[in-house]
Amino acid sequence: MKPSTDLLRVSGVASVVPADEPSWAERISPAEKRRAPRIWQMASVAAHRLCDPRPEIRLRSLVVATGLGALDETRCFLDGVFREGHGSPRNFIASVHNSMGGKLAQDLMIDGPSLTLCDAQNSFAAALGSVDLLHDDELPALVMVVDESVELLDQLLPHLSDGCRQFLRPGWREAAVAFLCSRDGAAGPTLRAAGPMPVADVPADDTCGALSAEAFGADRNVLALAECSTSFPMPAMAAARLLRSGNRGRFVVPSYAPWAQALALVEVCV
Amino acid sequence: MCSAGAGVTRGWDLVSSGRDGLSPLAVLDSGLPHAPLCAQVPDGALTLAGPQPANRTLACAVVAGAEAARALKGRRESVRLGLVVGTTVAGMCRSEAFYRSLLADQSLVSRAAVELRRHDPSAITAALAEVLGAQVALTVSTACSAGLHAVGMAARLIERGRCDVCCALGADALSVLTIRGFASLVLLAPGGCAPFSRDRAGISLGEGAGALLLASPEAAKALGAAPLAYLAGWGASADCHHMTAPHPEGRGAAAAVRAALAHAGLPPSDIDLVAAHGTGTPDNDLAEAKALRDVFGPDIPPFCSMKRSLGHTLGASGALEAVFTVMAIREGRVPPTAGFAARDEAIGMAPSPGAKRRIRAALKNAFGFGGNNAAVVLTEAA
Repeated sequence: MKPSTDLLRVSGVASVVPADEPSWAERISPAEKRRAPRIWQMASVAAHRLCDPRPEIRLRSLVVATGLGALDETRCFLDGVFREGHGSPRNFIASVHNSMGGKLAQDLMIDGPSLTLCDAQNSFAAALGSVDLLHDDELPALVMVVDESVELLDQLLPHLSDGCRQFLRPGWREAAVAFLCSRDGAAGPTLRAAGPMPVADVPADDTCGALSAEAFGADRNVLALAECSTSFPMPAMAAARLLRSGNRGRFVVPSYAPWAQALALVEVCV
Repeated sequence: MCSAGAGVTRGWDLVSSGRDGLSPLAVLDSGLPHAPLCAQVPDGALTLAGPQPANRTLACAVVAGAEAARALKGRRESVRLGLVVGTTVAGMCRSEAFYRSLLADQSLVSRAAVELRRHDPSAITAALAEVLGAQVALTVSTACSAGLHAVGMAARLIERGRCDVCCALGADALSVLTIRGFASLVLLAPGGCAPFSRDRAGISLGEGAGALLLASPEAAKALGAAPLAYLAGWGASADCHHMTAPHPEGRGAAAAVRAALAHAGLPPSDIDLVAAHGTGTPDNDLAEAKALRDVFGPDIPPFCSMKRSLGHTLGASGALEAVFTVMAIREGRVPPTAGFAARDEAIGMAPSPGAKRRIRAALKNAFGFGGNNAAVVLTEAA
């Protein structure tokens, strides 16, 4: 396995984890609370937490990473069509994965490249891979990793495959995690990704360790897959936690997407 | 893969002759009182994907991906292969039918593992990665610009040295979600789309997949594959204006085109063909025309829209239409715009009626929900 990105410098990280802070939506206006899907609200709050203290930074690009996007909006739209004979256009617009990126770009006036990556649990790594593809004049980029828990998914989970149940646990913590990424050479914490790459079986932790050594070197502290890949936003949450901890070191956050049978690694250097 | 069936030759024949590819929707029951006109992939073409493909999107993707991968000529092991898939519907075309049955009978939930196996966009990518043997795979879902972003990202993966060869693929199938969704926005043209025409009244949806195999010069040489065209530049931008309506002056679209030209190192005057997004909605076509005038000034190159022949294939459209843009370059032919009837003075320009012409460089546009814009510049092979 080889790195799929150069070192990306992280100059800021912010997050919203609704389960940890019941008042997370305080800054959302009542009108937005009525109109905007909850997942958009989570992304908006995380983005403002990251960007508002840094008014000097002009964001050039936006990369959104999401497993299922606004799935609840899709469900609402289909409920309308199948039960009442018509669906709400608002639900339809919100159901489109890219709509959230469009709203964030509009809100933050990011008029450069706007990409939405959907690689399930590997979406964070895929988003970093996409940042790596941007030219220097298209950086810095806001990377937004966001997914919400959906009641419908919790109902379906017991009936999905073993792999899905293992890596997408019911009641997982929804989150929006925002990173400010660039490629410049200044000192500071960095992220680097490898993959997503197809793998034949669910990788064991020692397999992740071996692949990490191959990609990044042997002296990394590789987190256990079960600690950081049992929901869509979890790999990004793990990386954010490491970045915030201030504990110097080189860590690797593995992720595995059972639907795609693909593995990705994100190296976090603090 | 398109309404003409499988294979570039069939599709190019449809597009280059300016034929109508639309017919009343038959592949699914949308629940609308009248079957809308759509571009539907024939069942016979889908069978090429093998027995019981998980869903129509995947079937289209597998057939298109396999055709593009023929250029590897069994020498896949000698190159690092990447894959970028653009899709927006993904497996929804099957998942929504399952959900509908679930609303009627909850006991069917036991079938979830089978029915939802390829629901997720990344599951489409994964299945393709397995077919092609790709070592790096990304899934981009930026609505109607996804397929063209996939092309640009594939080129950058090679440029950045992440792989030697990369398959860029866009795929989407017709679904109740999109048909009823665009119907709810009153954007489906009752009589079929009429891009850039005075009487245009909306879009016509379609389904299909398009794949391009991009390679570094060294990898192409190693494969013994003569290039069909060059991908010279990719540009991307966001409108920052509205969730569904384009910027009325086409500012974001113009920015993407300028970025693609700058990356290609070409002035606007070098473009011999614009393969427009050209969906046929009043606002989109007007905004795209303004963007073209902004970039090209009064000397707009010949332009066309393929949407009446192929339908608006959403996440597939950018890649699928890029395939036929390559064909236009190779055949030296500007395709006519099926469905165009009368010049719109508000637009102030009309698509080419179709002509033989050397095309040294072509621009392909794709714009999506959320004000998402993509453009690529393709040039003729030396």
